[in-house]
Amino acid sequence: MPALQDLTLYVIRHGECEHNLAGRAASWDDSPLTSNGREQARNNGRLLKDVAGNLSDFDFLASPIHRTCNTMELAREAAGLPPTGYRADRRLMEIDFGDHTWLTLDEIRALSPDLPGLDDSGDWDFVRPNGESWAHLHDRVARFLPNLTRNAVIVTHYGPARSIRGHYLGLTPAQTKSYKPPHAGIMRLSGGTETYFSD
Amino acid sequence: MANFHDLTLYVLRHGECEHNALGVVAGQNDSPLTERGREQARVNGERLGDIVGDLSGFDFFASALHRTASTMEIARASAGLSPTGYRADRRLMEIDCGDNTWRRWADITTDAEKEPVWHRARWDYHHPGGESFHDLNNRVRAFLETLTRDSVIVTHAGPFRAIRGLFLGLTSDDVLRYNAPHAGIMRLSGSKEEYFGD
Repeated sequence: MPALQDLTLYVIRHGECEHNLAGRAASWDDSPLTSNGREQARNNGRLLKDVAGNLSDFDFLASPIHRTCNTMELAREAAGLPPTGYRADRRLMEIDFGDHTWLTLDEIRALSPDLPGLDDSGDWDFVRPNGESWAHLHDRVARFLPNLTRNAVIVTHYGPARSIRGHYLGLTPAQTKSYKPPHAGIMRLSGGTETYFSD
Repeated sequence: MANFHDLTLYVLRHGECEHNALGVVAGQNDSPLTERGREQARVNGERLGDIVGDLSGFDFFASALHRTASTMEIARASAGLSPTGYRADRRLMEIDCGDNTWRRWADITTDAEKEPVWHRARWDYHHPGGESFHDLNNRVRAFLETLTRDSVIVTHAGPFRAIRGLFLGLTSDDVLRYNAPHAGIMRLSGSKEEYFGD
Protein backbone atom coordinates (compact mmCIF):
# COMPACT_ATOMS: atom_id res chain seq x y z
CA MET A 1 0.00 0.00 0.00
CA PRO A 2 1.65 3.30 -1.06
CA ALA A 3 1.73 6.28 1.29
CA LEU A 4 -0.69 9.02 0.27
CA GLN A 5 2.13 11.48 -0.51
CA ASP A 6 3.68 8.95 -2.93
CA LEU A 7 0.60 9.23 -5.15
CA THR A 8 -0.34 11.91 -7.64
CA LEU A 9 -3.95 13.04 -7.28
CA TYR A 10 -5.90 15.33 -9.60
CA VAL A 11 -8.86 16.79 -7.71
CA ILE A 12 -11.77 18.35 -9.61
CA ARG A 13 -14.95 19.93 -8.24
CA HIS A 14 -18.26 19.43 -10.06
CA GLY A 15 -19.28 22.16 -12.52
CA GLU A 16 -21.59 24.98 -11.52
CA CYS A 17 -25.15 23.87 -10.68
CA GLU A 18 -28.46 25.67 -10.39
CA HIS A 19 -28.30 25.56 -6.58
CA ASN A 20 -24.88 27.30 -6.66
CA LEU A 21 -26.46 30.20 -8.57
CA ALA A 22 -29.38 30.24 -6.12
CA GLY A 23 -27.03 30.36 -3.10
CA ARG A 24 -28.39 27.11 -1.70
CA ALA A 25 -26.53 24.26 -0.02
CA ALA A 26 -27.50 21.14 -1.98
CA SER A 27 -25.44 18.81 0.20
CA TRP A 28 -26.86 15.32 -0.44
CA ASP A 29 -29.70 16.73 -2.56
CA ASP A 30 -28.85 17.74 -6.10
CA SER A 31 -29.62 20.17 -8.90
CA PRO A 32 -28.67 20.10 -12.59
CA LEU A 33 -25.38 21.39 -13.95
CA THR A 34 -25.92 24.72 -15.70
CA SER A 35 -24.71 25.04 -19.31
CA ASN A 36 -21.76 26.96 -17.84
CA GLY A 37 -21.16 24.03 -15.47
CA ARG A 38 -21.17 21.53 -18.31
CA GLU A 39 -18.64 23.66 -20.17
CA GLN A 40 -16.45 23.87 -17.03
CA ALA A 41 -16.53 20.05 -16.81
CA ARG A 42 -15.50 19.65 -20.45
CA ASN A 43 -12.75 22.26 -20.11
CA ASN A 44 -11.44 20.49 -17.02
CA GLY A 45 -11.33 17.23 -18.99
CA ARG A 46 -9.27 18.83 -21.78
CA LEU A 47 -7.03 20.48 -19.20
CA LEU A 48 -6.52 17.14 -17.42
CA LYS A 49 -5.41 15.48 -20.64
CA ASP A 50 -3.01 18.36 -21.39
CA VAL A 51 -1.51 18.31 -17.90
CA ALA A 52 -1.42 14.57 -17.14
CA GLY A 53 -0.74 13.25 -20.63
CA ASN A 54 -1.24 9.49 -20.50
CA LEU A 55 -4.19 8.80 -18.19
CA SER A 56 -4.14 5.02 -18.53
CA ASP A 57 -2.34 4.52 -15.19
CA PHE A 58 -4.90 6.53 -13.24
CA ASP A 59 -7.91 5.35 -11.26
CA PHE A 60 -11.00 7.55 -11.61
CA LEU A 61 -13.28 8.09 -8.62
CA ALA A 62 -16.36 10.26 -8.16
CA SER A 63 -18.95 11.02 -5.51
CA PRO A 64 -22.10 9.06 -6.46
CA ILE A 65 -24.29 12.19 -6.44
CA HIS A 66 -25.64 13.11 -9.88
CA ARG A 67 -23.71 16.38 -10.39
CA THR A 68 -20.29 14.86 -9.72
CA CYS A 69 -20.93 11.77 -11.89
CA ASN A 70 -22.18 14.00 -14.70
CA THR A 71 -19.07 16.15 -14.36
CA MET A 72 -16.85 13.05 -14.39
CA GLU A 73 -18.52 11.71 -17.53
CA LEU A 74 -18.29 15.03 -19.38
CA ALA A 75 -14.64 15.46 -18.34
CA ARG A 76 -13.65 11.91 -19.31
CA GLU A 77 -15.30 12.29 -22.68
CA ALA A 78 -13.51 15.61 -23.31
CA ALA A 79 -10.23 13.88 -22.33
CA GLY A 80 -10.86 11.23 -24.98
CA LEU A 81 -11.87 8.46 -22.54
CA PRO A 82 -15.06 6.36 -22.41
CA PRO A 83 -17.46 8.29 -20.12
CA THR A 84 -18.28 5.56 -17.62
CA GLY A 85 -14.90 4.00 -16.76
CA TYR A 86 -14.86 5.23 -13.16
CA ARG A 87 -15.98 4.14 -9.70
CA ALA A 88 -18.42 6.05 -7.51
CA ASP A 89 -17.62 6.13 -3.79
CA ARG A 90 -20.05 7.37 -1.11
CA ARG A 91 -17.24 8.70 1.08
CA LEU A 92 -16.67 11.43 -1.54
CA MET A 93 -20.16 12.89 -1.01
CA GLU A 94 -20.49 16.50 0.16
CA ILE A 95 -20.83 17.23 3.90
CA ASP A 96 -24.24 16.05 5.11
CA PHE A 97 -25.99 19.32 5.99
CA GLY A 98 -28.96 17.48 7.55
CA ASP A 99 -31.79 19.94 8.26
CA HIS A 100 -29.74 22.72 6.62
CA THR A 101 -29.94 20.98 3.24
CA TRP A 102 -31.29 23.20 0.46
CA LEU A 103 -31.29 26.33 2.63
CA THR A 104 -29.59 29.66 1.96
CA LEU A 105 -27.13 31.01 4.52
CA ASP A 106 -29.76 33.48 5.79
CA GLU A 107 -32.26 30.65 6.23
CA ILE A 108 -29.62 28.55 8.01
CA ARG A 109 -28.84 31.40 10.41
CA ALA A 110 -32.54 31.85 11.15
CA LEU A 111 -32.90 28.13 11.91
CA SER A 112 -29.63 27.82 13.84
CA PRO A 113 -28.80 31.10 15.63
CA ASP A 114 -25.93 29.25 17.36
CA LEU A 115 -24.12 28.73 14.05
CA PRO A 116 -20.53 29.97 14.55
CA GLY A 117 -18.82 32.35 12.13
CA LEU A 118 -17.97 30.68 8.86
CA ASP A 119 -14.83 32.58 7.87
CA ASP A 120 -12.38 30.78 10.14
CA SER A 121 -12.25 27.33 11.72
CA GLY A 122 -14.95 28.30 14.23
CA ASP A 123 -17.58 26.04 12.73
CA TRP A 124 -15.23 23.06 12.22
CA ASP A 125 -16.89 21.05 15.01
CA PHE A 126 -20.40 22.45 14.55
CA VAL A 127 -22.65 19.46 13.82
CA ARG A 128 -25.46 20.34 11.42
CA PRO A 129 -28.81 19.24 12.90
CA ASN A 130 -29.28 15.60 11.84
CA GLY A 131 -26.14 15.91 9.70
CA GLU A 132 -22.36 16.16 9.95
CA SER A 133 -19.70 18.67 10.98
CA TRP A 134 -16.71 19.59 8.82
CA ALA A 135 -14.68 17.46 11.25
CA HIS A 136 -16.96 14.47 10.53
CA LEU A 137 -16.51 14.99 6.79
CA HIS A 138 -12.74 15.29 7.27
CA ASP A 139 -12.73 11.90 9.07
CA ARG A 140 -14.87 10.32 6.37
CA VAL A 141 -12.45 11.51 3.67
CA ALA A 142 -9.57 10.18 5.82
CA ARG A 143 -11.20 6.73 5.68
CA PHE A 144 -11.48 6.96 1.88
CA LEU A 145 -7.88 7.98 1.13
CA PRO A 146 -6.11 4.77 2.33
CA ASN A 147 -8.10 2.84 -0.30
CA LEU A 148 -6.17 4.57 -3.06
CA THR A 149 -3.55 2.24 -4.52
CA ARG A 150 -2.69 4.14 -7.70
CA ASN A 151 -2.54 7.69 -8.97
CA ALA A 152 -6.09 8.95 -9.22
CA VAL A 153 -8.43 11.54 -10.69
CA ILE A 154 -11.11 12.45 -8.14
CA VAL A 155 -14.31 14.38 -8.95
CA THR A 156 -16.01 15.56 -5.81
CA HIS A 157 -17.60 18.52 -4.01
CA TYR A 158 -16.38 21.65 -2.24
CA GLY A 159 -15.98 20.13 1.24
CA PRO A 160 -14.27 16.85 0.30
CA ALA A 161 -11.91 18.68 -2.12
CA ARG A 162 -10.74 20.85 0.79
CA SER A 163 -10.35 17.81 3.04
CA ILE A 164 -8.35 15.82 0.48
CA ARG A 165 -5.95 18.78 0.21
CA GLY A 166 -5.81 19.14 3.99
CA HIS A 167 -4.93 15.48 4.54
CA TYR A 168 -2.41 15.39 1.70
CA LEU A 169 -0.56 18.50 2.87
CA GLY A 170 -1.00 17.81 6.59
CA LEU A 171 -2.90 21.03 7.32
CA THR A 172 -4.75 22.33 10.36
CA PRO A 173 -8.56 22.76 10.21
CA ALA A 174 -8.18 26.53 9.63
CA GLN A 175 -5.69 25.93 6.80
CA THR A 176 -7.94 23.22 5.36
CA LYS A 177 -10.90 25.60 5.38
CA SER A 178 -8.95 28.46 3.79
CA TYR A 179 -8.94 26.81 0.35
CA LYS A 180 -11.93 27.63 -1.90
CA PRO A 181 -12.17 24.94 -4.59
CA PRO A 182 -13.36 26.42 -7.91
CA HIS A 183 -15.75 24.85 -10.43
CA ALA A 184 -13.27 25.56 -13.24
CA GLY A 185 -9.70 24.39 -12.86
CA ILE A 186 -7.81 21.42 -11.46
CA MET A 187 -5.71 20.89 -8.36
CA ARG A 188 -2.74 18.52 -8.56
CA LEU A 189 -1.34 17.02 -5.38
CA SER A 190 2.02 15.42 -6.12
CA GLY A 191 5.38 15.03 -4.43
CA GLY A 192 3.99 16.57 -1.25
CA THR A 193 2.98 19.85 -2.92
CA GLU A 194 -0.02 21.42 -4.62
CA THR A 195 -0.22 22.91 -8.11
CA TYR A 196 -3.21 24.59 -9.74
CA PHE A 197 -4.16 24.52 -13.40
CA SER A 198 -6.83 26.56 -15.17
CA ASP A 199 -7.52 27.99 -18.58
CA MET B 1 -50.31 19.90 3.65
CA ALA B 2 -51.87 16.95 1.85
CA ASN B 3 -52.02 13.53 3.42
CA PHE B 4 -49.95 11.44 1.04
CA HIS B 5 -52.58 8.69 1.15
CA ASP B 6 -54.91 11.07 -0.71
CA LEU B 7 -52.42 11.57 -3.55
CA THR B 8 -51.69 9.53 -6.65
CA LEU B 9 -48.05 8.40 -6.82
CA TYR B 10 -46.27 6.81 -9.74
CA VAL B 11 -43.17 5.00 -8.48
CA LEU B 12 -40.31 3.89 -10.73
CA ARG B 13 -37.06 2.13 -9.95
CA HIS B 14 -33.84 3.12 -11.76
CA GLY B 15 -32.97 1.06 -14.83
CA GLU B 16 -30.59 -1.88 -14.62
CA CYS B 17 -27.02 -0.90 -13.68
CA GLU B 18 -23.67 -2.62 -14.00
CA HIS B 19 -23.71 -3.57 -10.30
CA ASN B 20 -27.12 -5.25 -10.77
CA ALA B 21 -25.68 -7.29 -13.61
CA LEU B 22 -22.65 -8.15 -11.39
CA GLY B 23 -24.90 -9.20 -8.51
CA VAL B 24 -23.43 -6.81 -5.93
CA VAL B 25 -25.26 -4.34 -3.68
CA ALA B 26 -24.36 -0.74 -4.57
CA GLY B 27 -26.15 0.92 -1.65
CA GLN B 28 -25.17 4.59 -1.78
CA ASN B 29 -22.30 3.95 -4.17
CA ASP B 30 -23.27 3.90 -7.80
CA SER B 31 -22.57 2.32 -11.14
CA PRO B 32 -23.63 3.31 -14.65
CA LEU B 33 -26.92 2.29 -16.23
CA THR B 34 -26.39 -0.54 -18.70
CA GLU B 35 -27.71 -0.10 -22.24
CA ARG B 36 -30.60 -2.29 -21.16
CA GLY B 37 -31.17 -0.01 -18.16
CA ARG B 38 -31.28 3.07 -20.38
CA GLU B 39 -33.83 1.33 -22.60
CA GLN B 40 -35.94 0.43 -19.53
CA ALA B 41 -35.91 4.09 -18.53
CA ARG B 42 -36.96 5.20 -22.02
CA VAL B 43 -39.79 2.66 -22.15
CA ASN B 44 -40.95 3.66 -18.66
CA GLY B 45 -41.09 7.31 -19.71
CA GLU B 46 -43.25 6.48 -22.74
CA ARG B 47 -45.41 4.26 -20.57
CA LEU B 48 -45.87 7.03 -18.01
CA GLY B 49 -47.01 9.41 -20.73
CA ASP B 50 -49.44 6.78 -22.07
CA ILE B 51 -50.93 6.01 -18.65
CA VAL B 52 -51.23 9.52 -17.25
CA GLY B 53 -51.69 11.66 -20.35
CA ASP B 54 -51.30 15.20 -19.02
CA LEU B 55 -48.35 15.23 -16.58
CA SER B 56 -48.45 18.97 -15.93
CA GLY B 57 -50.22 18.53 -12.57
CA PHE B 58 -47.48 16.26 -11.20
CA ASP B 59 -44.37 16.94 -9.16
CA PHE B 60 -41.28 14.90 -10.06
CA PHE B 61 -38.78 13.63 -7.47
CA ALA B 62 -35.67 11.47 -7.79
CA SER B 63 -33.04 10.15 -5.44
CA ALA B 64 -29.94 12.36 -5.79
CA LEU B 65 -27.73 9.39 -6.72
CA HIS B 66 -26.58 9.28 -10.32
CA ARG B 67 -28.45 6.15 -11.46
CA THR B 68 -31.86 7.44 -10.38
CA ALA B 69 -31.38 11.03 -11.54
CA SER B 70 -30.17 9.68 -14.92
CA THR B 71 -33.20 7.38 -15.14
CA MET B 72 -35.48 10.34 -14.35
CA GLU B 73 -33.91 12.46 -17.10
CA ILE B 74 -34.17 9.71 -19.71
CA ALA B 75 -37.78 8.94 -18.71
CA ARG B 76 -38.84 12.60 -18.73
CA ALA B 77 -37.29 13.15 -22.15
CA SER B 78 -39.11 10.14 -23.59
CA ALA B 79 -42.37 11.38 -22.00
CA GLY B 80 -41.90 14.64 -23.92
CA LEU B 81 -40.83 16.71 -20.88
CA SER B 82 -37.70 18.79 -20.26
CA PRO B 83 -35.15 16.36 -18.74
CA THR B 84 -34.22 18.41 -15.68
CA GLY B 85 -37.60 19.63 -14.41
CA TYR B 86 -37.49 17.56 -11.21
CA ARG B 87 -36.14 17.80 -7.65
CA ALA B 88 -33.48 15.45 -6.32
CA ASP B 89 -34.08 14.50 -2.68
CA ARG B 90 -31.57 12.70 -0.46
CA ARG B 91 -34.28 10.90 1.49
CA LEU B 92 -35.00 8.83 -1.63
CA MET B 93 -31.45 7.41 -1.71
CA GLU B 94 -30.95 3.66 -1.41
CA ILE B 95 -30.40 2.22 2.06
CA ASP B 96 -26.93 2.99 3.39
CA CYS B 97 -25.32 -0.47 3.41
CA GLY B 98 -22.23 0.77 5.28
CA ASP B 99 -19.47 -1.84 5.21
CA ASN B 100 -21.73 -4.13 3.15
CA THR B 101 -21.60 -1.67 0.23
CA TRP B 102 -20.51 -3.34 -3.00
CA ARG B 103 -20.69 -6.89 -1.56
CA ARG B 104 -22.75 -9.79 -2.93
CA TRP B 105 -26.15 -10.19 -1.27
CA ALA B 106 -25.43 -13.88 -0.54
CA ASP B 107 -22.27 -12.90 1.39
CA ILE B 108 -24.12 -10.16 3.28
CA THR B 109 -26.81 -12.65 4.24
CA THR B 110 -24.27 -15.25 5.42
CA ASP B 111 -22.81 -12.70 7.84
CA ALA B 112 -26.17 -11.25 8.87
CA GLU B 113 -27.51 -14.71 9.77
CA LYS B 114 -24.96 -14.86 12.60
CA GLU B 115 -26.81 -12.02 14.30
CA PRO B 116 -29.93 -12.73 16.37
CA VAL B 117 -31.69 -9.59 15.11
CA TRP B 118 -31.70 -10.97 11.56
CA HIS B 119 -33.91 -13.87 12.74
CA ARG B 120 -35.96 -11.82 15.19
CA ALA B 121 -36.70 -8.83 12.95
CA ARG B 122 -34.85 -8.32 9.66
CA TRP B 123 -36.43 -4.86 9.65
CA ASP B 124 -34.12 -3.86 12.54
CA TYR B 125 -30.89 -5.37 11.16
CA HIS B 126 -28.28 -2.58 10.83
CA HIS B 127 -25.77 -2.80 8.03
CA PRO B 128 -22.44 -2.30 9.88
CA GLY B 129 -21.73 1.43 9.79
CA GLY B 130 -24.95 2.01 7.83
CA GLU B 131 -28.73 1.96 8.19
CA SER B 132 -31.47 -0.52 9.08
CA PHE B 133 -34.62 -0.81 7.00
CA HIS B 134 -36.35 0.83 9.96
CA ASP B 135 -34.06 3.89 9.49
CA LEU B 136 -34.78 3.93 5.76
CA ASN B 137 -38.52 3.67 6.36
CA ASN B 138 -38.43 6.67 8.70
CA ARG B 139 -36.67 8.94 6.21
CA VAL B 140 -38.95 7.82 3.38
CA ARG B 141 -41.98 8.61 5.56
CA ALA B 142 -40.54 12.07 6.28
CA PHE B 143 -40.21 12.60 2.52
CA LEU B 144 -43.76 11.44 1.76
CA GLU B 145 -45.13 13.83 4.38
CA THR B 146 -43.71 16.78 2.41
CA LEU B 147 -45.66 15.92 -0.77
CA THR B 148 -48.39 18.38 -1.71
CA ARG B 149 -49.37 17.19 -5.18
CA ASP B 150 -49.64 13.97 -7.19
CA SER B 151 -46.08 12.87 -7.91
CA VAL B 152 -43.77 10.78 -10.02
CA ILE B 153 -40.95 9.30 -7.93
CA VAL B 154 -37.80 7.63 -9.30
CA THR B 155 -35.97 5.71 -6.61
CA HIS B 156 -34.27 2.43 -5.61
CA ALA B 157 -35.42 -1.05 -4.57
CA GLY B 158 -35.36 -0.24 -0.82
CA PRO B 159 -37.23 3.09 -0.82
CA PHE B 160 -39.64 1.63 -3.42
CA ARG B 161 -40.59 -1.07 -0.89
CA ALA B 162 -40.92 1.52 1.86
CA ILE B 163 -43.16 3.83 -0.19
CA ARG B 164 -45.42 0.94 -1.15
CA GLY B 165 -45.58 -0.29 2.45
CA LEU B 166 -46.31 3.14 3.92
CA PHE B 167 -48.96 3.90 1.31
CA LEU B 168 -50.76 0.56 1.64
CA GLY B 169 -50.17 0.13 5.41
CA LEU B 170 -48.36 -3.21 5.09
CA THR B 171 -46.63 -5.35 7.72
CA SER B 172 -42.84 -5.34 7.71
CA ASP B 173 -42.77 -8.91 6.32
CA ASP B 174 -44.96 -7.89 3.40
CA VAL B 175 -42.85 -4.79 2.77
CA LEU B 176 -39.60 -6.77 2.61
CA ARG B 177 -41.08 -9.54 0.46
CA TYR B 178 -41.76 -7.21 -2.49
CA ASN B 179 -39.18 -7.06 -5.28
CA ALA B 180 -39.38 -3.90 -7.35
CA PRO B 181 -38.64 -4.46 -11.05
CA HIS B 182 -36.38 -2.17 -13.12
CA ALA B 183 -38.97 -2.07 -15.91
CA GLY B 184 -42.53 -1.11 -15.18
CA ILE B 185 -44.38 1.45 -13.09
CA MET B 186 -46.29 1.17 -9.81
CA ARG B 187 -49.35 3.38 -9.34
CA LEU B 188 -50.44 3.98 -5.76
CA SER B 189 -53.83 5.63 -5.61
CA GLY B 190 -56.91 5.39 -3.40
CA SER B 191 -55.32 2.77 -1.07
CA LYS B 192 -54.65 0.44 -4.01
CA GLU B 193 -51.62 -0.56 -6.05
CA GLU B 194 -51.61 -1.18 -9.76
CA TYR B 195 -48.59 -2.31 -11.74
CA PHE B 196 -48.00 -1.32 -15.35
CA GLY B 197 -45.35 -3.30 -17.20
CA ASP B 198 -44.72 -5.72 -20.00
